[in-house]
Amino acid sequence: MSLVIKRYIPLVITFLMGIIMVIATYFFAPGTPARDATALLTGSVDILVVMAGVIGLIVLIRHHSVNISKRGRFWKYSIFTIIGVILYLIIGLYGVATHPQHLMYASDLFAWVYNNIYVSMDMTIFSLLAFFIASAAYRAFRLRSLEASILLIVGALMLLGRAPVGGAIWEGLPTIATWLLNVPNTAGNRAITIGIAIGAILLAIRQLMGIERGYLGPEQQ
Amino acid sequence: MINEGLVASFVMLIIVVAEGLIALFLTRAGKASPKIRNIPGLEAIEEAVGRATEMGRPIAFTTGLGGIRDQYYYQTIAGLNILGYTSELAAKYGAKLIYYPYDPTIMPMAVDVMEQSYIRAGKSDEFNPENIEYLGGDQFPWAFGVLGRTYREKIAASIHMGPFWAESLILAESGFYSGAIQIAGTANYHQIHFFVVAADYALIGEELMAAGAYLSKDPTQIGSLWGADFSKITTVALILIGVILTAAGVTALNDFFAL
Amino acid sequence: MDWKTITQIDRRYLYIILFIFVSIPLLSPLNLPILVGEHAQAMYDTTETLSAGDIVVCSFDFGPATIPENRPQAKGFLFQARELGLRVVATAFWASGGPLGEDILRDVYGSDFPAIPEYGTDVVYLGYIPGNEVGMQTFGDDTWTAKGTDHYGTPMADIPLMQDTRAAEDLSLWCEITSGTPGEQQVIQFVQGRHGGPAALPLVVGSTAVSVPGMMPFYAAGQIVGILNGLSGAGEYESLLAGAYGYPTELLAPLDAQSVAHVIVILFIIAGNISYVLTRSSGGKEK
Repeated sequence: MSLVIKRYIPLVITFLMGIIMVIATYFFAPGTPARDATALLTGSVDILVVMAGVIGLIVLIRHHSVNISKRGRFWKYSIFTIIGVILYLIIGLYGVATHPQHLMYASDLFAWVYNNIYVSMDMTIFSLLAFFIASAAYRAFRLRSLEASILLIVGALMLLGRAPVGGAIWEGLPTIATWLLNVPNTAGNRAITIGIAIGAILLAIRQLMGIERGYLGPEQQ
Repeated sequence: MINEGLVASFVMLIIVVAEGLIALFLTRAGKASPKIRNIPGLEAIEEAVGRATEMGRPIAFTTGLGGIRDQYYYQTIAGLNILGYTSELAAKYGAKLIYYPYDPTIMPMAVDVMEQSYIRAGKSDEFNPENIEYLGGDQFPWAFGVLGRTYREKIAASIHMGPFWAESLILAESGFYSGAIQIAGTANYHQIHFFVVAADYALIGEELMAAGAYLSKDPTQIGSLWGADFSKITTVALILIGVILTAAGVTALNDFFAL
Repeated sequence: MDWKTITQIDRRYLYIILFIFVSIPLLSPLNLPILVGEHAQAMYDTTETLSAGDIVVCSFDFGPATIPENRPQAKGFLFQARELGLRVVATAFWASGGPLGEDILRDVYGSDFPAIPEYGTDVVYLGYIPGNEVGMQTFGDDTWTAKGTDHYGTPMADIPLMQDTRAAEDLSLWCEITSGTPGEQQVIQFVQGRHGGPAALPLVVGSTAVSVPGMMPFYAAGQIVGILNGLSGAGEYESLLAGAYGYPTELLAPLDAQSVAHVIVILFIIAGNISYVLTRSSGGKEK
């Protein structure tokens, strides 16, 4: 593939799309044909995303099939992955096939699997976070330096102040926690957010101008 | 005419872009040579890759839960820039880097980025697309997929750069217990503290966006980072003026920026 | 006990300790008193200012993982809305929020929902609206375009409540129950910001505790007028509703468990630091 197609055309498309979206956001009033046309442009991303989802599914199945056939590392886990993907896909498609007028129909079986297997597993994984927080707090919260000590004290005040036990120990603790949230947290949050916004705008500028192009394809042929 | 409610936003956009471009062109023309402060998290990537090479164990890389269609794509792109740099180092040293994308839309870009890095390192024949392993686009299944692989593959270096949510600590703790050196960065305010506490090195907010320019050592790109300082000075000045004016009973600036 | 070796303790012991102590109050609640904070009070007060017949949105934008935090928040808000005679347009911009929202509506409006007399006039469930922030924006700009039917396939034109709900201008309050994106920031940017700001469309949020610090600048700026901060926020709100409307409380035991978990984590931190200080003072290095 020539360098023009692989390198320069994507840069031109990137630049044009970026400029069009900025103009559309600021100058095309909602509801006008010009704005609707750009909405169509962003809407087309959904098509791309759906196609990428299909590719993701194929890649997933291919990766694990190859792993099973080669008896690769932990290939037994791959069997579970493939069974899970195919089984739930069939259940989902069956629901849609039996109710063609309702594109997002969830059959009773689909809902049962979702509510009793997926929901339980998802909640379990999220709740494991409590254990990770406990072990992270245990090993990482140390009075190493002034900054670490401030972090530790503020963390402890928040922990106590944001649970009923804080109020039971001393009524002032929830007030302190609320103040920490309302004042120092808001200040720090705003500073970081402003920095991030400026950084993101300049990153976009570098990309639109083709200066920073690490995300594009190979530079050499 | 500018759409209603967006005038202040547009004015700020123009100021930030203008300041960034002026700084960029001044640097490109050789009229300024801004120095950039050291970012330990980015400097540590080479150490992490070197360590993984010595131990003969893989490096795990993730770019969080971002895709190309959401508001957080800029973090994902910044993460991909760091992926390119890390992958090139891994190719040079002969270490195995496994990338776990979350959103399938990122996969073609990741393949390109990693392929490019292997070409740069002069080892294009060693590039293996199988090292980009898609684990599914759902938050906790993905996070536990990475967690499981971190333990089983005995990951030596764990690098997480991009938008993260509740899975940040799951990833950081699993990396710690597998004995990996951990470098993590996000601009998601409510997750930064998890990385600061649990990872060996953390990139905070805008450091992530500056990574591509920082690692490239390209003066033009570094010039645009210098421009960010001007924008921050402008913003702080506007805040101070706003505070003084409001205290004096003049609300014009306040009203201009109100949504 | 040798304090110096405590840092080398297997983390699984920490997990077991946490598990056991968290389980105890769940089985036998301590009934610790709940002090209502500023943020939950603001959410309650804002909702109280509305008049019967006002239209409010309740959006279920969360997944199964955060049910323990988000579900009681949504349930409490729907209960207060029903008590005040508000008309509720319930929806979800997360696919996973669709079935979860319906379940919560059944809890509040009765297990026969949507086969209840007030369905279509006082409450309607639109279900999942795809498109994330684009979906939210469309909902605010032209609600009927965002979704042509309710969750059960009834066209918008056949639903009396939707006759009065055409765009964000028709709404008196938006209640965003969220655990991520799209969430409150997208409502501010794509709905509230485009339709008259916080004065025209006040926003109240029920959120997972971890995300609340990120919302505080919006709260300080008045773009969010009330917040339920995780489980504790839901508990505070529940106690307010219990006092005013006799709302049945069910969060005392989980809140006690949360209290115990927080205390245990603090004890872990103290133990870790004692070990750290002792190890350092004897010239050793922490593992």
